[in-house]
Amino acid sequence: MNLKSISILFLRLLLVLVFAVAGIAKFKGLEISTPLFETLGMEPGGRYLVGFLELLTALLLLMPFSVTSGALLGWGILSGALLAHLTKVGVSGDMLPMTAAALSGWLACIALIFLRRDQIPFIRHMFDCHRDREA
Amino acid sequence: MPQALRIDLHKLAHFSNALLFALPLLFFAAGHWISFYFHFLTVASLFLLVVNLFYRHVQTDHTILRNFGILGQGRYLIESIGPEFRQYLYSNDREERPFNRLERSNVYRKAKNVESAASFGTLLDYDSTELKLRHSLFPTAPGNSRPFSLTLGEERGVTAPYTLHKPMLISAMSYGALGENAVRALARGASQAGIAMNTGEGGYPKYHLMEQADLIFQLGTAKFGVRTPEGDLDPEALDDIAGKPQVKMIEIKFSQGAKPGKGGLLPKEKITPEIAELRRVPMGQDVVSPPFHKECSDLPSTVAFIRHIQERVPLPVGIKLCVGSFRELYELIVEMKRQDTFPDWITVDGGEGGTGAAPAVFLDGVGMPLFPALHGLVQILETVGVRDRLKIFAAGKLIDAGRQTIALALGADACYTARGFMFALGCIQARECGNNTCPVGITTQDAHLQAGLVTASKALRVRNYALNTLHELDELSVALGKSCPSELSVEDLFIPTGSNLWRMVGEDPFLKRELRQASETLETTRAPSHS
Repeated sequence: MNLKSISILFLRLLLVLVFAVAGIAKFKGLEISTPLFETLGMEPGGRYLVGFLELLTALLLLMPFSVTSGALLGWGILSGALLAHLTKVGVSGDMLPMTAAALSGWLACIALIFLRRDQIPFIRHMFDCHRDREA
Repeated sequence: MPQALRIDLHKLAHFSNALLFALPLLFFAAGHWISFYFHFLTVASLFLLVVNLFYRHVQTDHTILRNFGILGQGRYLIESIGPEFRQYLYSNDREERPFNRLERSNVYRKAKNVESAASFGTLLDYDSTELKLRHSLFPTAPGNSRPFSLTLGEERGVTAPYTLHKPMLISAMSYGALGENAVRALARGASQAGIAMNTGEGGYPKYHLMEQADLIFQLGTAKFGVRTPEGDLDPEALDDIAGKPQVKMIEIKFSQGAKPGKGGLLPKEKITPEIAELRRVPMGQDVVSPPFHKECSDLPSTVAFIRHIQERVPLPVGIKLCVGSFRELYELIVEMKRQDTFPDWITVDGGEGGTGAAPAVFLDGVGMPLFPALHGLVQILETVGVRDRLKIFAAGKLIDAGRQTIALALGADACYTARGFMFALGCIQARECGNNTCPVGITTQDAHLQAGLVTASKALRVRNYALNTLHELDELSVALGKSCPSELSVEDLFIPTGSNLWRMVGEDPFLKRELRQASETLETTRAPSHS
């Protein structure tokens, strides 16, 4: 095992944990997430939707063949979360730990995507199968 | 001047590239002032923007993407499904290569035991240069047919001669090229149909041996399965294989139609522990098959090598080659006569290519097509006066009784086909044989893809295809007034002017000149020893 595969494994496990916890929290409707989604005007449908996507991300990251897709989806969700923090719910005070978690998760996703850039769909995959095509 | 409407893809691409900058801003505004749900689109469009920037400014492999961005992917996307769409919708029934839809359907129907009669005339260009068969005014009466029988090794009086009862054989396909299920289905179908099967050069025929089919073990240039670590022939391993009750004959492969004059390369990634064991090659390094047998550097040593194998095993031993030059072939036959050593059969593989993966230049441009090659070989054997010393097998797109009858008429004693049997197994001609991605689980080692190929039901298809084709072959023989397919001769062919064969059978200037020159050279060199 080299440094790269250890980093990938570490990032994967970390992100699986983050998304699984966040997703379950949204489905349980814990006291912190409900008001947050009320602020966004997405309660309760949006909360379940985001919760579902977070659990899906955790699942994708868990399975070896879908790690890159999971990282891309995770990047999307956390980008949305950061948008929410920056524009609606605020970053300081009560929201500081959540903002910090979202930001670090967002960076971890980017790192994972970068480490597995040779497997990003639309960028590598489709050319591997058709090396004989021109241009 | 008013301009006609048209779609300018250049402008469209510039517009879409600009739009990709505007979209995230637009969606952001909507997400901020209308509903946060719009931010799903903000993030997605942001992702597209990043990908587009990557295409246009980072990657350097693809010009189209660098110039036109994400819209350029449309080209690759649509192009990538082109082969499928052409096969499904756009190619007409007689257009595809190597086998058109009509030819494939014919095999499928035989394999599924479905009535294959068609109505309202041929779809072929009947007046074209394709060969036709001449039927007789007096077809063979029902009681006058006699069963086909061909004994290999009888000329040499080998210890264990082998008799073919059907003029059709399954051509060389190795385990490794084919998956386990495909090999076993072929072998089981062959034993049910009572035909023999060639193992291919891919080493010890473990899976071929699991069924009861009669086998022809193929000895390739890398001697897979019977090699020493240095790549020489291991005589004891050969004895071991020749001693298996199912192995009836040995075929030394000199060249094959897909890549005459070129050996295969087995990349180290494909060498599983099982393949390494069966082929007797080391793990972790590429194995390059030499383009020729080490032992065979010139004509005398080549014939000596054939004799060496024949002396070693009690079975009939034949050779397989794709014809390059008639002169060389002539000299080889003369050398065989000089040493009084003949292979028990010669398999002529047409340059049409077969199942083997090979560079396109070899598939497309090297090797003589089967029919001229076959006719040339027969002429040479007759010129040298040794036609009765060996048998001839023909290979090269002989998937239907029509082409098989032509090959038999040109002088072949039996026909090999590989791709016909692949169609019987369910091949859809996706032409992915070399990629390990065969969608019908035939030429792949992928367990998931192989799962779709159920050995028992496909074995039945193989059997049906063989028996129905043989039945059609018999019907053709009857129509041509023969009591057995082995009675066919060139006289039974209608060879249109303009076909390759016309030049050789009708006028024969090329072959005659070659043969005359060759025999003159031979006579001059021989003259002193005679005097």
